[in-house]
Amino acid sequence: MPEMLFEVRDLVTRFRSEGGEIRPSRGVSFHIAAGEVLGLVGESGSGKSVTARASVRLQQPESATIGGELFFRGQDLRKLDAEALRALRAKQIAMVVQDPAAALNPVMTIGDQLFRIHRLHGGSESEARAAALSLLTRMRIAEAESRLSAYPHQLSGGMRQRVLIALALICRPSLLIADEPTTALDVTVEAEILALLDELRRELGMAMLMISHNLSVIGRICDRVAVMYAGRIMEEGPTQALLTSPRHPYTRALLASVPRGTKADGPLPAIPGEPPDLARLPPGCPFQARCPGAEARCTEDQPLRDIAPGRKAACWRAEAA
Amino acid sequence: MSPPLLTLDGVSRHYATKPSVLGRLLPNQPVVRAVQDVSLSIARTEILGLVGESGSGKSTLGRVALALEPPTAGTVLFNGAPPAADLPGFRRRAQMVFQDPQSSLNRSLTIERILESPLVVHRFGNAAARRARIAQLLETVGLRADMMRRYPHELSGGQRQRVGIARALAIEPAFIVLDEPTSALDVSIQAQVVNLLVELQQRLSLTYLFISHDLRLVRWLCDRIAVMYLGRIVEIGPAEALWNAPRHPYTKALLTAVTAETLVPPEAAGDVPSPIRPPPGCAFHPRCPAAGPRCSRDAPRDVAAGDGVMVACHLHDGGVA
Repeated sequence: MPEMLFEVRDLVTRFRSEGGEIRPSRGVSFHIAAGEVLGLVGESGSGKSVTARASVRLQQPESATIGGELFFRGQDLRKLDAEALRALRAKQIAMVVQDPAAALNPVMTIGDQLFRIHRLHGGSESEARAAALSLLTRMRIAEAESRLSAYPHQLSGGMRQRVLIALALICRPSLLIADEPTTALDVTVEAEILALLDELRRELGMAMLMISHNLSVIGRICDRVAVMYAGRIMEEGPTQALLTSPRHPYTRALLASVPRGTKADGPLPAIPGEPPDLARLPPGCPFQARCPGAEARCTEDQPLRDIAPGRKAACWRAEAA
Repeated sequence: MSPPLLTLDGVSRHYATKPSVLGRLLPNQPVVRAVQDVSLSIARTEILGLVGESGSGKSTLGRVALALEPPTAGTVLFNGAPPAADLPGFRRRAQMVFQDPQSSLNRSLTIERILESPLVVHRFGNAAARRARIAQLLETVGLRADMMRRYPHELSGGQRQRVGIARALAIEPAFIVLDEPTSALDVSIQAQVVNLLVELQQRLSLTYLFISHDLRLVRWLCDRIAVMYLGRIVEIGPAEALWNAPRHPYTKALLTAVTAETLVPPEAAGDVPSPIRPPPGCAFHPRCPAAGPRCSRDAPRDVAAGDGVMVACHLHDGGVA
């Protein structure tokens, strides 16, 4: 049994908006073992991003409150003061976001940004330089040496994302939170960066929480997947099993709506309607209004429960599938 | 066979880059070759997919096809005549749907005003007739007529894109350029909108130029596919021929990137070069796994490669040596 690295129990986030109180995470629980990759998949507004950030106590928006239990290597993150939390995040937990332009410092060279982080962890300047060069080369950044003195705006989008990943990995974190890390990139560049990220992750024995709306990206890189909808995990399980035999009607509908053949095969199986308004959620299952199999009892809460070894779903019909 | 509805012959579109103060004093301003020597035609009621990554020039080509920008070289013919021969008539027959309905719909106008505008411009009936037409248009795109009193921000992303489609249909065009119409939408909503586009195309005998970065979606929707890379069409042919047997290494890389279920070694290395200084010879050669000495020297010509496919690659024209 690999060591349990990160465990989130019953995470609730809430903040006030014009429409009323919004709860992007409504009792979310998941765990990640050391070296494991968990995917958090969902459509816009499902709460996946807020949930992932809140799980390491990064509030978004800042007025949001966080409830639940967050254990990292057995330590309760909610009991840490700001200083201890910052130290832990700097050493053990790194993050890569979708938009590297916003995450990189525009007035510092790539090299200075890499060296600065490396030095936070001790070590000499020449060690920092060697580590930075080796990582940039591993990320297939051509002429890495000269790129160290470049500023972010002098690099292409794909190049900036490679640098951002290098920044996240330079301290050899044990957990990487990757929030749509390749969504802004072209698909051929995405394919290369995903492969490089996975290669480095294996070498470092690093665990990852991968947030994406893209089922194909999730399918390629994750060991397990949790599917979110309206602030809840609807289904969770090993990636291949979940993608090939989804048990929750939402997962099934989501997978079916991806185009696979041609229009001669008939219309795409779309999910009718729209995701619910998070400020006005109906009682019970949030998917009931769009679910082909909804019945009266769907207005009662459906807890995420074990339905088969390693698999969970929040639907009373999950076994029937 | 009926003559094509739209023909592009040797079309290029170049932009001058914004010169720096010093740059203005120098001759030979750098030029962005957004579109370079493109020839293609679209038959009546055909759906042609235009696939490419960012910077490939696909959106520029769409704008040139609609005479929103003049070609730097080459000719555009619509129904056998240049658009300029009868520009008001051309504008009635050729319309556009944009990627992001959030920014392409005027946020200070009601849906009714947004849809009335093209009717007023093209002198459609009196106020009562226009109002009836707007109600009919909303129904055509699957929205309730009372939506006309709403503002864009009160609609969901999918509903806004339906309004964008209704606006394009207002004056009964024959030809529509759709520029990434679903890429801002979640996959379940994308399926609804794509099904609507197919239904409208069949019911109203429309001709589409469908621009997308998503090869899977284009294969589902389109009769033929053109693949663009750095301003040029590298491969064009029947959708199933390209999907089942891609000839150009770039088409292969795109296809692998969207269909791979595991992290396979990417078939295109590195990032997309800038269209200001496209690589010499074949622009794809620095990223191409099959490139040989000839590829950095000679620009490939278009050659027939069977099954109605045209490809611009030395592999299919005497080899890369």
